Amino acid sequence: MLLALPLTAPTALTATAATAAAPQAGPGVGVVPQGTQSGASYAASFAAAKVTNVDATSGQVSCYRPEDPYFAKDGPNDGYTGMSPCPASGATTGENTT
Amino acid sequence: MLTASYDGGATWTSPIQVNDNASPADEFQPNLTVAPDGTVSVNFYDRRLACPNAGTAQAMAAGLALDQVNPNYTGSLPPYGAADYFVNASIQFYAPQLTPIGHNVRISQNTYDPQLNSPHTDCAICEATFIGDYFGNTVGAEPGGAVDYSTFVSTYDDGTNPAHYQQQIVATVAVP
Repeated sequence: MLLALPLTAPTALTATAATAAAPQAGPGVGVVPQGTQSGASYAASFAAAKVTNVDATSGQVSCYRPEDPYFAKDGPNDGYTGMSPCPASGATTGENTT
Repeated sequence: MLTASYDGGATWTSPIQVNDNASPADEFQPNLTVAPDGTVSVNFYDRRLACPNAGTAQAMAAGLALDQVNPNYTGSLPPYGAADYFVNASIQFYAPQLTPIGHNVRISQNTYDPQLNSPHTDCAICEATFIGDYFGNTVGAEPGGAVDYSTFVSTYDDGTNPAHYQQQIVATVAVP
């Protein structure tokens, strides 16, 4: 989706990450115009703002033909959990595996 | 940090801090978008909330007991109750002149463990943790008003992710 920038909007914006109270930090660090909030207030903000979450990928089945098959299992703590056959019902994500 | 230019980059406003956590924590991978009415939103990953404690339903669903190897962490594992470890996603809205609209809002329903099934950027068995790049922020016009759509990853098992893979979550919240 494309968004148009109105004339009243900033013509250029940048954002970078920062910690809340890093010592010897650069300009603006610690300048929080809205003030700080507690962890409890933050945790409750999900419900207060009526945010919704949808898991967009866990219900999908992806199948592909790897260039370098790797059959070992390293997961779940250490990453890759191994190859498995594509189910008879095939992928639901639209790949062409032929 | 957030700063703006209203004259094509010739001058910039004084930077302001986006995250509003009272105690220091990692806040990273910011994404910025501007709504058609000029409302600015910045979303970012947020580590201000501690890991769930052992024996809790949140710890079980997060798969925390599976987190037993982390070469970049010096604390005990699994990291029950650890600070600055688990990840949430947050958003902050601003008026066009960067006046904040409220506080940071948590847009992830559940905090998640970035160590589980972390993609490896160097090789399949390398140890480096990698949190997915699939993190986005856009605003769409809906019949009830503008809605902000954020995408981020999570390994939390909401009942559909028992293997704790990094799944893509889409969060929606009304633009204030």
